[in-house]
Amino acid sequence: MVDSRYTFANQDGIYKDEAFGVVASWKETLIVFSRNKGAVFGVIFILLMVILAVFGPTMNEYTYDYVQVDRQNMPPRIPGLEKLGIFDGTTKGVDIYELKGCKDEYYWFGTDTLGRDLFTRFCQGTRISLIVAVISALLDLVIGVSYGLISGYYGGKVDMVMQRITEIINGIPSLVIVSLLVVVMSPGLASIIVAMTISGWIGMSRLVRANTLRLKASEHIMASKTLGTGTVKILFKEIFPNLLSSVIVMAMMSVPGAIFMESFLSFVGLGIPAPQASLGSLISDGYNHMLMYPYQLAIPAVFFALLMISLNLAGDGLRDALDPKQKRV
Amino acid sequence: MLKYCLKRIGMAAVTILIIIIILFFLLKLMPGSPFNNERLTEEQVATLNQKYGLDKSIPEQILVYVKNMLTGDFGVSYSIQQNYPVANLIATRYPTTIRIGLQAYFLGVFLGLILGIVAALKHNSILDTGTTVFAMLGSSIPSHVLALAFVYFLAYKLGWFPLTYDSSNPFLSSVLPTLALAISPMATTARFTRNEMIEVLDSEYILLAETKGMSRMRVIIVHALKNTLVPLITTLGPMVMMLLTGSTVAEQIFAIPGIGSLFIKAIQTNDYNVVISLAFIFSAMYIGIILVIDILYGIIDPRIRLSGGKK
Repeated sequence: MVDSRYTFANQDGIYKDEAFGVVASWKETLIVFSRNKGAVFGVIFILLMVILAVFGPTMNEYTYDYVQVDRQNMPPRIPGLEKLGIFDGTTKGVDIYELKGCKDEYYWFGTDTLGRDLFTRFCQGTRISLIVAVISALLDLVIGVSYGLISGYYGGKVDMVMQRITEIINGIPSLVIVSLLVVVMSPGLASIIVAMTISGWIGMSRLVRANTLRLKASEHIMASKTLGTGTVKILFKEIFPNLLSSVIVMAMMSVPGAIFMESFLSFVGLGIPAPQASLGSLISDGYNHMLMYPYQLAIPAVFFALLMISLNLAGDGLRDALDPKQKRV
Repeated sequence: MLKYCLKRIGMAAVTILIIIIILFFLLKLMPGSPFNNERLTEEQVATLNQKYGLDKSIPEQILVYVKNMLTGDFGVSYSIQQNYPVANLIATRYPTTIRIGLQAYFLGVFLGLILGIVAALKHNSILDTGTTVFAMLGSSIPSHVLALAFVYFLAYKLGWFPLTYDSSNPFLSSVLPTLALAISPMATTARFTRNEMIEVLDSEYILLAETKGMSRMRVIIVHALKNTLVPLITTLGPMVMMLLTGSTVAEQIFAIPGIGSLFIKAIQTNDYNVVISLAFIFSAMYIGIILVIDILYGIIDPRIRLSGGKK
């Protein structure tokens, strides 16, 4: 509020710069991001998958582990679309739904060899895959950032020892680390996440360390130190905010990797144990009956591929918007 | 240079040693005994225990284990082929995996390079956009999804290729797995080459070379390409890793008798000795390749070895 006692001396001469107006940095990020068509597509598809993961399992009357012996391998049938000749519940011209006498039932994505509704299993699988990916990305972030900050800030012997440790972990293929750890801990949600985190945080810690090394020599850190600020406060209040955008980009980029690793584990037989589903386990289940019932594989595989593409597109878009200096690889 | 090499080799050796020790403890943690054959008499078990040094203290056992691993004595298989030496099991399958891996790798890098260079030269054309889109798709879609699509459409629907690996026709039956594995390195190489090349073509020494009246072809091959290839070496490591993981699944899908499918089979049948041995082989291979890449990079780019190997 402008106090009425004071007025601008030269009121007519004051103007706002329209052409090069100041834009808040988050707004600018948003503008750059929304100009990138691929990234926008990615975000929309990811949102769709998230909605399916959250609400999908309760969208029809079936549950992901409800076995119906008399409804095995039903082809997909979706109300509305069936009139167009696709997803109409027929295989090779035979209406399976009529054959089984259940014309009033709809299995949107069909059923599997145990008669479980594949749409519900698909949504449940998406949920599990996303949970695995997001939690392991968050754990990578927490561990990687703390490790990188400490290693980079203290330098010297501490840094030497810490860097040798990461080099050794980095020297072991993640395929080996993850599969062996899951074998030892026996497959399950927690063991998969732990195993992926153990090999996954290295990249984040390297990024943070390199940037911390660069930043700790800068003047605002020196000023902070001179004023007697504690180390923890310097690390998290002075250095970390400067790294935030690259850290977010890195975390975003690690999500597709985690989803891929989970699907790999499912394929090897180390994934989420049945009756629980994940995108990976749906694909490996579908693969077993691929030639007889291609839809059991095709639907999860196509969505899986699209999800991976969307995550990468969104990650790229985010990087270009937030952290344009980071080099494309 | 020598110091740099020795440092790298030393680091690799320490990593291998630590991996063997970790594997030793993991094997101890896994259920089952190495000799779960009921017909063995106590005497035989004692002999076997002595042979593998299982009657000694843990540090001594580790020493024996490290020696055994490094000399290629991986013990025997528990369940895949009972009491058959793991080393033989691996030796018969090793060449197939290496062959398909190399095929995929060279095909991918070669095509990726061509695609990347063409895209950079025709910057902002349809070809360039096409390459960018392809690179995005190729690096996003996992190789096992590609492999499954190839099997279904090219092998099952069209019948061009055998559905599963046929060892009497190793070339034709390795086409699909090679293609499925080659897409990811191809996409990575294409994207990387394109971006590097565009940057290099924009630099002043290229302008100078062109001003001197050098032919376009010569500028591209002698100046631009050379400087594009150097940073490309850094993508080799992650690529090998992707290939390693991808080949495991691809071998399973195409029923290729390689070490990847053996790894999966060993995990599924709880043949822990085979699992651990293959883990060692995979790690040793990976570390070996990384070592070669690091040393190569040190030779090509002097800045790396002068800064002590920190990139």
